Amino acid sequence: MKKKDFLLIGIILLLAAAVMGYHYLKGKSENAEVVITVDGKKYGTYDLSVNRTIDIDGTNTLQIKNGKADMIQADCPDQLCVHQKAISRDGESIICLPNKVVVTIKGGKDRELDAVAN
Amino acid sequence: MKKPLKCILVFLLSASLALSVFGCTTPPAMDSIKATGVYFDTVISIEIWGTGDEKILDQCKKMCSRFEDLFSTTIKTSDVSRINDAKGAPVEVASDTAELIKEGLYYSKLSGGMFDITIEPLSELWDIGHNPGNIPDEAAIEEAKSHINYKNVIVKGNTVTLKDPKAAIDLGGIAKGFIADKLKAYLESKGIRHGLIDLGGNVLVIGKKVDGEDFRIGIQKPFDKRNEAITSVSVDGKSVVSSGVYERYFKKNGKIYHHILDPRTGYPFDNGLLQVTIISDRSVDGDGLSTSCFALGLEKGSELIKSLDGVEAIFVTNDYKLHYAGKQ
Repeated sequence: MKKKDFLLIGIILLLAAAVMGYHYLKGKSENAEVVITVDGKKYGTYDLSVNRTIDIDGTNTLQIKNGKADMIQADCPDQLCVHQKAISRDGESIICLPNKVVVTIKGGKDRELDAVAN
Repeated sequence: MKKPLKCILVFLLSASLALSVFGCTTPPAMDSIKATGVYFDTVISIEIWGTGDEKILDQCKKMCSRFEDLFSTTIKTSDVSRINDAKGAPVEVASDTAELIKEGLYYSKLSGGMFDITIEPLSELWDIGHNPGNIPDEAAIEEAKSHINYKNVIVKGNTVTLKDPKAAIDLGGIAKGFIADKLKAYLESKGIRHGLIDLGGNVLVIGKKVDGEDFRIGIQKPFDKRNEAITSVSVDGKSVVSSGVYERYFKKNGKIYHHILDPRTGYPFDNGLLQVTIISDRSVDGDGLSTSCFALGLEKGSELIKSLDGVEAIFVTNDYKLHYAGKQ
């Protein structure tokens, strides 16, 4: 076996390791996004890791703080969305029925619970 | 190095490279599609895996809409409203309505009338969902109570008759479970093997998660923020349904007046329970049993659960302690 053969083997193995490493890291650190829709139409997409307060159509206020999204104000009579737990994991959502506002987390850590019986 | 060996080596290395690039990508079967909507006064969501066919979800929504039009007490043209407004005359209903009423009567009988589908006159009087804190007067409660008796509901084929013209039925305590079962049957008929049906906290799953793990379903912590769980259960193809005092209530003089009403006293049950959760195969059983067990209380409710096959229950008492019941 020639020296060049070893070189080729080395390069291929290194490449394979690099690609696997990329997939691994990408899967771990993929940033979670907060997707807001109003009446089924996209309102905005925000980074869950950036603290900010979002006014949604003047009816609801969503706060993104320390990697969690929480509905802190709403003008709806039932206030159910305000009473919902803050969300942070892939697929979790907060819904304000009267104002047709849906806030969903896309990406990030897997959810711990698939649903909560109420 | 001999040539054939070299060829094999190159092949293996190429394969390892190819695998590292393509091997970790998610196959499309891992992705889900999800529908959310507003029916039965609550938010529903249906999530299914292994298909991209949105038509299946559209059909689910159509089914929800149809069931709401049949079972609602607030829609004037619903089967339930027509029965309640008929003043004792026989009413022809959809076969689904007749089937659901029969399920309701089964649980009314099983609980010895503690859960009773003819509770409507009392529910309407208290109107807990919209009541700012008015306790109805004694005479009105007595009058409403006198019309509660599930034995006055006669179902023959698709004809429903109330023997007491002032009686009225409310299927709210059992309808969501029934509808969830119908949705699951439809989805399974379309080949869906992994699914999550959530009708306002009334949860029914299809199979396991697509990764082969059980679904993890939390159980609402009473009076805490919505989706804050007190515990959770792992399920494969089962229904998880809770009934609790925290869902709809008002507080007066430090006392909680909630929506689960005692047909004997005419007041909300006051038995030290905050919540009952039922884990069962059929969601209609979970719905019927959660209210029935709540009404029966911890001791008698646990006995009922132990007498049934394939059903488990978690009771939460007002000290926030969990009590498990089920055949072991």
